[in-house]
Amino acid sequence: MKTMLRSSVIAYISFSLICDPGISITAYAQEKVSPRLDIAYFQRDSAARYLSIKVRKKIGKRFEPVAEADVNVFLEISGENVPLGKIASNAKGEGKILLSADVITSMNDLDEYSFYAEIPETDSLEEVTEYLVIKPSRMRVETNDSDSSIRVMLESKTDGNWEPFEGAELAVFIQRRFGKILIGEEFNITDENGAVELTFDTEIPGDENGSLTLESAIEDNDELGNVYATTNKRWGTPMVAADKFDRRTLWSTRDKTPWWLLVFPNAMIAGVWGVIIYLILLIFKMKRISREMK
Amino acid sequence: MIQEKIYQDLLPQKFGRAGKIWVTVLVAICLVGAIAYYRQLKYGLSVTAMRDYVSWGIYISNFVFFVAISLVGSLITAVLQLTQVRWSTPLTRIAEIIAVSAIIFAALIIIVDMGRPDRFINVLIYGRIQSPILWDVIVITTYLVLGVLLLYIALLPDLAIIIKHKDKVEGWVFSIAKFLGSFWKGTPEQLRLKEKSITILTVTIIPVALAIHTVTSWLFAMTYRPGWDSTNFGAYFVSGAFLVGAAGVVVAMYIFRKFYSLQNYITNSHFNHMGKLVVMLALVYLYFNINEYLVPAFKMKKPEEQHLLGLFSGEFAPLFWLVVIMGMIVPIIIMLFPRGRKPLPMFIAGTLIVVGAWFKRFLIVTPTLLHPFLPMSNVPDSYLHYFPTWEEWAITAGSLAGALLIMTFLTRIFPIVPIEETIKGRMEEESVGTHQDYSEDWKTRQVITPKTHKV
Repeated sequence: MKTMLRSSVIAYISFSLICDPGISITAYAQEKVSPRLDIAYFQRDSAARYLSIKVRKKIGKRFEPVAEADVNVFLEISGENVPLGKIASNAKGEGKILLSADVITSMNDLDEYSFYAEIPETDSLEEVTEYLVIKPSRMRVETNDSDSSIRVMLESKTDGNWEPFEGAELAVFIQRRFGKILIGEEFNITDENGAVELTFDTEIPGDENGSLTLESAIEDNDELGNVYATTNKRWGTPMVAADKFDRRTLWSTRDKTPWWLLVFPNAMIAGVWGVIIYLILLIFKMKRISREMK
Repeated sequence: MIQEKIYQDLLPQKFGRAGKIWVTVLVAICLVGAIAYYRQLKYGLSVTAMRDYVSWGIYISNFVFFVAISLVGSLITAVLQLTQVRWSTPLTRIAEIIAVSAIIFAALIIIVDMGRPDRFINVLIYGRIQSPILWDVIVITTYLVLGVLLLYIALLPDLAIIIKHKDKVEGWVFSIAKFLGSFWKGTPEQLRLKEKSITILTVTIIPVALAIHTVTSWLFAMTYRPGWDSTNFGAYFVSGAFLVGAAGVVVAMYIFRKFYSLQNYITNSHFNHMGKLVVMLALVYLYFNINEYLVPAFKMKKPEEQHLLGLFSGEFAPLFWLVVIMGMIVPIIIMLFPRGRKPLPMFIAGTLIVVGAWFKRFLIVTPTLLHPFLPMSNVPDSYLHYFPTWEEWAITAGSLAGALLIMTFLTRIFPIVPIEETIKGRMEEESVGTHQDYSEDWKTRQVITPKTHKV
C-alpha cells in the first residue's frame, strides 16, 4: 500500500514537471534571480530627454517583467558616475527617468553620453549592471512651402564638432491623436550630408487652421538611441468641427431646447390643460346654475 | 322603498371595530415611516443603502408601483365606460379612489428619494424639457388633476344625496359633502354639463394615463443600461400597470364587500367579470415579459450577460422566479376556471398579483444598476450589493400605509358604490320590467345582456 502511494506521488511530481516547467521555477521561487536589465535613451527636439529601463527575468523560455526592482542610474562626467536618480520598475517591469535641465546642460559639453545603470543585490534579485553609450546628435526638420518638400538634417558630435551623420535609418510621420501616419518610405537612410528628402503630397485633415505636426524619428539606433524632431506646418485641410456648443440640442441648457421638443410637448401640455381649465369652468357653470335657481 | 334600502346600504358608514383597528395600524406604520424620514432628512441619504451604483432603490420601485396601480382609474372608469361595459359601474368609485390615492403617493415618494427635497422647486424653476424627469413631473401632475376631477364630478349627485340625508351621516361627513357639492341640484342643465364633463374626462384621461406610465418607463429606457435599453418598455409598463391596477381593484372589492356588507352591489358576477379581465391582462403582461427577457437572453450579449444571469440563476433568481410564478402564472391558472373567479380565490389571486407587482418593480430597477456596462472596481463591498436599510423599509411601508389611509378616508366620507348610478340602474330595470333577485346577485347594469330576461 505504502509503495503504491509513494509511486503515485513520484509519478504525479514527474508528470507535473514534464507538463509545466513553471512548477519547478515556482518551487525555487525563494532563490535569487538574475534579472535582465535593458536601458534606452530618448531625445525629443533636443529639449526633453529621458532614459527608459526595463527589468525582466527569464522563466522557462520566456521573459516576465520584474516589478518593484530599484534601479540606480548614473551618467559618467569627467570620469565620475554622477547619479541621475533611482527608478522603481512598475508592474510591467518598466520605468522612466527624465533628465533635468541641469543634467542636459552638462551633457551639452560631452562628446558621448555614458550611462550606467545597476540593480543592487536584494533578497530576491542578484546584482546587475548595464552600460549604454550614446553619441550626441541633433536633428531638425526643414520644409519648403512652395513644393511641400521636407528635408531632415541629422548631425552628430565628433571631437566637439557637429558633423553630418550618414547611414542612419529614419522615418517621417504626421502625428495624430492616437498614432502616426507615415510619409514616404518606412526606411530612409541619411546621405553623406546627413539629409533625407521627402515630398508631402497627401491630403489630410489638420486642425482648424490645417496645421499638422511632422515628426522625424530615429528609433533603436545603436549609436544615437531614439531621436525625434518635430515641426508644425499648415499643410493639412482645415477641419471644421461639428460644433454643437451653444446650439439647440438634447443636452443643452433649457434656453437652447430643440424647437421640436419645445413645440410638440408644450402643445400637448397646453391641449390637456386647456381641457382641464374648461372642465373647471364647467363646474363653475354648474354652480352658477344653482345660484340662479336661488 | 328600494331607494331607501340603497341609501341605507351605500351611504358612508361609521367604522366598526375592525375599521378602527385598521386605521390605527395604518397610522402607526405612517408614524414609523415619518420617524425614518426625519432621520433621512437629518442625516441625509447615507441612512439608506443606496450608494454610487444603486442610486435608485426601493423608493423608485415603490414610485413605479404607485404609478402603475393608479392606471386602474382610466381602465375601469374610462376604457370600460367608453366601450359600454356596464357591469363595471359599481366599481368605478373604487377604481377612481385607488387611482387618486396612488398617484398622490407616487408624487410624494419621488420627493422622498431626493437627498435635498428643499431643492425640488428647482425642477420647476430650472427644469429642462429635454429631461424625462420633467416629463414625469408634468404628466403626474396632469394625471392627478384629471383623476381628482373624474372622482369629484362623478361624485356630485352622491354628495347631494349625502346632504339630503343629513340625519343618516355624521356631522363632519355632512359638512364635507355640503362644502363640496351643495350647488348640485340635479337640474337637467347640470346633468347635461356633468355628463358632458365625464365624457370629456374619460376621453382625455386615457392618453394621459398611457402617457404617465410610458413616461415612467422612459425614465429607464431613455438611458443606456442592461435591462432598460428596450423599445418595448412603454408597452411593457402599461400592460403591467393595467394588470396590477385591476388586481388592486379586485382586492379592494373583496375587502369593501366583506366589511361594508356590499354583497348585493358587488356581486359574484362582478368578480367573474373582473376575473376574466385580469386573466386577459395577465396574459398580455406575460407575453411582454417573455419578449423582454427571452429576446435578450437568446442573444446573451456580453455586457448584458451578468444582468440576465443574475435574474435567471444568480443573486435575484429566487425573487425573479417567485414573481413570475406567483405573481403571474399561478393567478392566471386560478382565474382561468369559473371556480377561481369567485370572491375568495379572486382575492387571493389579486393579492398575489399586487405583491408580485411590487417586487417586479424592484427587479426592474435595482439589478440593472448593479450591473453597469463598465466594471465596478475599487469600490467598497457595500457598493456591490443592495439591501434596503430599516429607514427605507419604514418609509416605503409608511407610503403604502399612507395610500391605504387616503383610500380608507375617502371611502369613509364618500359612497363606495355610486348611489345615484345604482338607483338609476334599478329604475331602468323596472321601466323595462327586468326581473332581478337582488339578494343573490345584483345585475342592475346588465339589463342589455342576454342573461337578463323580461317578465
